[in-house]
Amino acid sequence: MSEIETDVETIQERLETARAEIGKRIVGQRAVLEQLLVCVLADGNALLESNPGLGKTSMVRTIANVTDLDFSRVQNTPDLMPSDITGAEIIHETGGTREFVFEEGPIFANVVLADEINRATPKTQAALLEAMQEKQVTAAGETHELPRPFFVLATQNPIDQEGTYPLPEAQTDRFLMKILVDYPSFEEERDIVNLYTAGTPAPEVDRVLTRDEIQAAQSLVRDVPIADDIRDRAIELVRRTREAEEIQFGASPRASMGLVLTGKARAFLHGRNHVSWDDVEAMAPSVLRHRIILDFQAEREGRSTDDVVRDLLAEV
Amino acid sequence: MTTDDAVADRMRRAVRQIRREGYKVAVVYAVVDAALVALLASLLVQVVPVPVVPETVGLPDAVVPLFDRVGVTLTDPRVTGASVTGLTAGLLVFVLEVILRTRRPLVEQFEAANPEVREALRTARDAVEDGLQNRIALSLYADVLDSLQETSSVGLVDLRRVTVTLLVVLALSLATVQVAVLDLSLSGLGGGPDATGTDRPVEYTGLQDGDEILGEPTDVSAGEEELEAGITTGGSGSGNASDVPRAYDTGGFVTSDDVASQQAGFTAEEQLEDAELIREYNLRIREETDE
Repeated sequence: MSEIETDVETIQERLETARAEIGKRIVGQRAVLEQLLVCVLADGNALLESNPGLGKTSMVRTIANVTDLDFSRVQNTPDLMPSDITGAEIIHETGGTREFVFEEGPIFANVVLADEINRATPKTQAALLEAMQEKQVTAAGETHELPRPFFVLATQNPIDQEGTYPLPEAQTDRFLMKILVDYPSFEEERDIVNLYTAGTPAPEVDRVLTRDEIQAAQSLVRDVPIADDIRDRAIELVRRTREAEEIQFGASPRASMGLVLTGKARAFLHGRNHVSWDDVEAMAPSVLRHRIILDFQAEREGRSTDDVVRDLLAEV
Repeated sequence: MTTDDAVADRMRRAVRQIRREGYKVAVVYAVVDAALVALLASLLVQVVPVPVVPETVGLPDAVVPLFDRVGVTLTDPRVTGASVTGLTAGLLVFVLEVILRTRRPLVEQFEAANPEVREALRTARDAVEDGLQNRIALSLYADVLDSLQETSSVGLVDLRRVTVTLLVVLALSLATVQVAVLDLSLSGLGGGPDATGTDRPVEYTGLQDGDEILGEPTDVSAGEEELEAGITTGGSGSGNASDVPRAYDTGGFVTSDDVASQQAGFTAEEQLEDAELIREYNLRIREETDE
């Protein structure tokens, strides 16, 4: 076995170990966990949508725990100001002298969990999303680089929409994936209950991935080769969303990039050195569902974006 | 050459080899199918004469010396129309099949026959053609090259289909020989002479060489068979003047029937060709006279 292979395989093995470690705390939700790790490997941001109490925060926190990444959490509320997230210049007094010092906000972490992002005002959302896109924050004319790697995992609640500010389509497009967290099965829920009501502390997880390894993995993911025809089919899938009858607004070229990149990340996560169509197929719903808007007719018929994406996948 | 270059080069050569195998398979299928179609077409033309296909076709002048060059002297440089039809149909099928079979990427055909390298091989092909030599690409090349040890291009050939086709080709070959020996022809089916025996007007295609039809002219001095013929005339009867024989010289030809005058011309449809023939004869004679 060559040295090159050992290097790549070591990182892939570490990722597998990290999944196993997270599994100690998070029961079930394997698909969600896989998509979150794909998002991390693809250096993207994810929007998690679920009803309350499904363990989103625990999952994101555990991901941070199995790595040596900094974790911070922002609970979005309507009165949250942009500076509450990004940070602000404050007057710092030392030795009788006063000076303005930039106080970093919670966004200065490797993993940022922005809970209930749709409860923040559009202005605060915009500040968060800009930081997410640019990976830097500008305050008082100074630009501050965010730490790397940097992920925002935002959550939103599909119910109880009163007093919320739904994210504009242009902003949701900045999330690489929209991950739906569903209710666990009966057996999984029983295990969750047993795990967290037995009077024993939550299981410990080992730190198995360093930030350097994550960054190396992110770099390797982009090197994963993809066959021309698979890439073209992925692009064709995204283009079809712009022509499909049931879709009012289709996905942007950013979706094409996202689909190929997440396909590469999934292949890498599975220990493969090439992208398979199965990877693209598996990633398509979460990459496209928040980037397309169905027309009135499709909505009236009760069709979801996932239904339409599934149909398009069957066509290409 | 570095190790990385060597791996990439091996991958490149493997892809070339796979393509070559694909071409070979396409040619195998094309040859077998072309033989089948050629024999079938030739047999059909032999059994059911087609008017547009001539019975024999002369070989082009450029071809005849080629035979001489290989030491074969052709006394009659002609081939049958059926052979030409078969050869043409076979060539057409061969070319079309090779084109059609190589239209789908050969590497993907190979993948279909060897699922263990599915998607990996085509990815490696595209990557190596793009000149990718990063860590992941090199590990992919190494994996694919390993997997190729377990693959085979035999799967590209549907042996059952080829065998069945070859058996049909064999049967057709035997049938062709049989037809040639028996000179079997389903006259009447393909527009040849009418099976009912009714003569159809022969289409006039111009004057033919008499010598070609009748053979070389020979001088005949006299008939070999001599016949004696005598005509006796004599009077008899009741003395009716009209019954009395008389000399033709003095009385001319006398008959009891009226001679109906007839207009020279051609009324029957088939005689129109005769009229054309006569006209052409006249024109030829006139030309010769003028000369």
